[in-house]
Amino acid sequence: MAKAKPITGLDAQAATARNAGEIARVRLEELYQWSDFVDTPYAVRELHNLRIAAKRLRYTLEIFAGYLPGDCKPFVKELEQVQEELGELHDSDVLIALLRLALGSQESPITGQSLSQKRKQKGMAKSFLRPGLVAELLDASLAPTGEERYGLEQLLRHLETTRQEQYSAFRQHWYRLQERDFRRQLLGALEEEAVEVSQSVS
Amino acid sequence: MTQMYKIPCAAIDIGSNSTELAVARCSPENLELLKDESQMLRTGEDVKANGEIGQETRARLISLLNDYVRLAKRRRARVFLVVATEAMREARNGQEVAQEIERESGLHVHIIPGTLEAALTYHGATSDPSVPADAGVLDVGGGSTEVVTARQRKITWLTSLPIGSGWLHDQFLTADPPMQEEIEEAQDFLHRYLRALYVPHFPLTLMVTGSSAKSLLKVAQQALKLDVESDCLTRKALFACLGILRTLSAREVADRYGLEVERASVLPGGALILLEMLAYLRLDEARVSPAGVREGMLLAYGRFGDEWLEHPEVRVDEERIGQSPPLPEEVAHKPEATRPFAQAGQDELVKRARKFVDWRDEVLKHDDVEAVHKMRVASRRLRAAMDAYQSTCQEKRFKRAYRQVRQAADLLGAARDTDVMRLRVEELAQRASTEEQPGLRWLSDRLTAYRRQGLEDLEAFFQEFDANDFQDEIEDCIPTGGNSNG
Repeated sequence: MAKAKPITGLDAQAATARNAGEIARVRLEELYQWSDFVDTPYAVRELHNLRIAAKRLRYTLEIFAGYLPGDCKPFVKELEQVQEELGELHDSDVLIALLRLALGSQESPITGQSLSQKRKQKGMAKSFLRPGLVAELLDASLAPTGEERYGLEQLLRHLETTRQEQYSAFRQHWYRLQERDFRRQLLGALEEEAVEVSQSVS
Repeated sequence: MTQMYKIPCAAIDIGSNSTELAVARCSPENLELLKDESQMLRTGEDVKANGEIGQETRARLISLLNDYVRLAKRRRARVFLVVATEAMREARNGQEVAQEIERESGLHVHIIPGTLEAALTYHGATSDPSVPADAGVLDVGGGSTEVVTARQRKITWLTSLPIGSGWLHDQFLTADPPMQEEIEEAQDFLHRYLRALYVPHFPLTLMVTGSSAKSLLKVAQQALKLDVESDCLTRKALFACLGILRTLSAREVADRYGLEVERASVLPGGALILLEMLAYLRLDEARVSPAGVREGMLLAYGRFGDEWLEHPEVRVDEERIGQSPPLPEEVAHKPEATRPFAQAGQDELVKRARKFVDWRDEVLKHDDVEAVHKMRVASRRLRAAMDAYQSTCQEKRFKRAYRQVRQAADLLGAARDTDVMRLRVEELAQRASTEEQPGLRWLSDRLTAYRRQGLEDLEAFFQEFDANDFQDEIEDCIPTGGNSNG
C-alpha cells in the first residue's frame, strides 16, 4: 500500500489534542475507502490495504492516547482484532500463492489444473510476493520431487479451507462493527476532544 | 520472651492503593491474628493526578479508619500502630491529612520513609519459620516497591522504588483492559528504570508480598488450576495472568476471580512489576507471603515495644540503604491535551526512534525471532508517528530519516513474514501424516534458506546504519516551534 496520506492544514502550535483528532479522522476515512471490498473474498490486495489502513488508524489512536478522550481506547481493541484477522488472511494468501507457484512448474496429479491456469495465477500472485522468496521456490535445481509434491498439495488444500474460515470470521466481525455503527461511534468519541480542549483553553 | 502478649494490638497501613488493618496478639516471634481487613481507597490516584489527597478521599479515609478503630476495639485492642506510605509521603498535604486523622479518630499516623516500610515488610514477610534464612523480600505496593536482601535473617541491603501497581496503572495502563501498546510502554519503562538499579547481591529465594502479589496468586491458582496449597508464583504463571488481564475488563476479572474491581484494575501493573523484577533478579519464581508491613509492625512491637520504629533492625543504618534510581522526566508529567503539537511531536519522535534503535543488538544476535518482530513493530510505530507529525518536520531531514526507517521495516518485514510462515509449516508438520512430511520439509527448507539470506541483508543494512546519526536526525526533524509547511 502507498505511503500514508500526508495530513495538511495542521497547526504546529495548536493543541495536540485538536490535531490528533484531525489525524484520526483522516485515518478513519482511509479505512472506509477499502470497505467496499469486504464482500469480495478474493480481493487479496484490497483486503491487505484495508488491514494496513486499520493498522494506521490503530497506531494513530495509540500514539495520541494521552491526548485523545479516554472513550477512544476501546476502539483500539476492535482495530487490533480487525488487523489480526486480516493479517492471518493475508498470511494464508501469501502461502497459498507460493505453493501454487511451486506446484505450477509441473502438472498436478491431485488438483488436475493445467499449467496455463497456474501461469495466470503466477502472474497475479507475484505482484504481492517477495521476489527473493519466489526465486527460491522456483529454483529448478531444487524443484520438489513427486513425494514432496504430495505433501505440498495436501498443505495447499488445507490452507484453502482455512482461508475460507478466516475470511468468514473477519467478515462476520466487520459486519458486527457496522451494525453498531463503528465509524459514527468513533467520530463521536473524537468529537469529545474538541469539547475538552475548548474547556481547558477557556 | 516467647509468651504471647495478652493485650491485642492493631496495625493499620495507609497505602497508595489500599488501607489495611490487622489485629493480633503479638510476641517477639509469633502473631495470633484476630482480625484482617483491607479496602481499596486509591489514595495514590489523587496524589498522581493533583499532587495532594482530595477532600472526598480524606473523608472516606477517616470514615474507614474510624470503622477500623471500632473493629479493633471490639477485639480488645489497646495499642494502635499506624503507618502511611508512598501516597502520604508524596502528597503536598500529607502532614495536614495526618493531623486531621489524629483529630477525627485519635490515631497517630507515622508517615514513614520507604526504607522503614521495606524493613517492616521484611520482618512481616519472613515471619513464617519455613522461609529460608537468606530469602530476599519484594513488596509490590500501590505507590512503591520495596526490595530487601538478607543473610541469616539480618537485613543486608534494602531500597524503596517510587513505582507501584497503582502508579504504573495511572501512568501507562489506563485503558480497561490495558492496550498492548500501553503494556509495551510500561514494560519498556520498567526495563529501563531497573537498568539503573544496583542490588549488591541477588537472593536465591524471593518472598513477594503486597495485595497485588496475593491477588495474582489467586488468579493463577484458579485460572491455571494450580495447587491452592502452594504459595509459588512462577514467571510462566505471571505471563499467563497478564494474558488474562490484557483480555478481560477489570469488572470481568473481579467477577471471575472474586476480587474488588479497583484491585483488578491495578493488577496488570502489579503483574508487570513482578515480572520485570523477577527477570532483573534472574529468578524464575517467587513465594507469595500473606504477611507484609502490618505483620512486620506487630512483630516489631512484640520485639522492641515502644521502640518499634526506632530499633536498628527496623530503622537500618545508612550503609545498608540502597539508592533508588530517579524517575525520568518523561514519566513525571502526564501529557496535556493543550500541549503544542510541535512540542509533543519532538518528544514522541525521539521516544519512538529510541525504541526502534534499542532492538538492533537483539536482532543481530540472531537467537530470538521475537526480537525481529518487536523491532518491526517499533519501526511501524515510528513510521506512524512520523506520518502524523510530518507537517511539522523539516522536509529534507524527514525524508532522509523516513527512508532509513522504511528500508529497515522492509527488511524486518521480509524476515518476520518468513518466520511466521516457517512456524506455521512446522506446526502443521507436527500434525501431518508420514506421507505429507517430505513436502512440508521441502517448504520449510526453502523458507529457511530465504530467511538466511534475509538476515544477511538485515545485517548488511545495520552495519551501515549509524544509530546515533539517525537519532540526531530524528531529534532535529522538528525545529523549535515546528515547521510552517503544514
